[in-house]
Amino acid sequence: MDDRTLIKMIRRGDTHAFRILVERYRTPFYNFFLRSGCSIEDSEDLTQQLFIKLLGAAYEIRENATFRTYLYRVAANLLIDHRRKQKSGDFVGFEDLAGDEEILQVGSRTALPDENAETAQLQERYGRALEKLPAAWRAVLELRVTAEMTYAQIAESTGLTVPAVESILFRARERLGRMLGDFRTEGRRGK
Amino acid sequence: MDCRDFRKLVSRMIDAEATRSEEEKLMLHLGSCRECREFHESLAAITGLHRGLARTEPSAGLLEKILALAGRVEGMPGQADLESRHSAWWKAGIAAAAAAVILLGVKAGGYVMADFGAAPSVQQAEVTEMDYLGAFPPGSLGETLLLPEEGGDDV
Repeated sequence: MDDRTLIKMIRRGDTHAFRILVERYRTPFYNFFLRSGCSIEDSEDLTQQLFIKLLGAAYEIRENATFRTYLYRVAANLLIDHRRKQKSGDFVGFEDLAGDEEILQVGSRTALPDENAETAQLQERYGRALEKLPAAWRAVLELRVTAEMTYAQIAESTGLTVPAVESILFRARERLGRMLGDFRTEGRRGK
Repeated sequence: MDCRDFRKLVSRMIDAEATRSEEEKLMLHLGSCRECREFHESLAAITGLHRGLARTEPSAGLLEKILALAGRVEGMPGQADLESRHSAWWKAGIAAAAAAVILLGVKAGGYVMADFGAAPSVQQAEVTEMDYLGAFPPGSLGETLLLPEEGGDDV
């Protein structure tokens, strides 16, 4: 059953439709919060808040809006509020989460016997490299790569300008590339 | 445009945000600049790695926590609430069906055995049981089932 049908059913008070939506989206959004720098507890709490907000807004969701995009927008707002509370009012937007420009080398360069192990190791290194990025950059990457939002949609969701979104994505990828080093050459060397 | 500008453009192209003319310029540059070509390959690989990130499962209890919280939202029944309403609906349905059968039986009995004793009074019981149906909010699935002529085609 598609999301639009489920939303219509939720509007009629159908709990089962709500349950299906929660089952469908709880893991991706829990991961969105986790990858955006929230703790396990906070990620679960924010995921709960996200779905409760969805219930409250079920009547306001536009029929032509992509539900997934809508949820990511709400999630981005929840993330901003959460970080703002953590920073005791100092936080004014995603820009505040930007970290320093320190370049970190992540992981070892030990060759592994087979390609699968090598890919798994590379994936693990990528995960660790990602953790070194400022939380806001990770959130923007998630909104772009996982949520597949356009720059304009990300800007609208986060309060950033489109050039700022563009800049964050470029800098995040550039830094990830530096942190991972010459991983593509390594991959070829291992074959 | 220098190499840094082209690299920014690579990032935009990967995100399908570059215009056609920007892409054409970039392709021309990539054809002659090995460093930028490698940067392009690197960014494409990074995007692939991000998509391939393993997902962490939330705790097993998260779903139930959300459903329990949802039960407290006005106008939205919780899981237990829904189950009790379904149960009430079925009870009411069975009671109504039984009452209808009894009524028909009594009516038929009246024709066949007009001299037998008075039929049991089921009208009051039927109305009381039917009140359960009022538990469904207007426009809900329950109400739709109760009034099939009003639709419910997408359920």
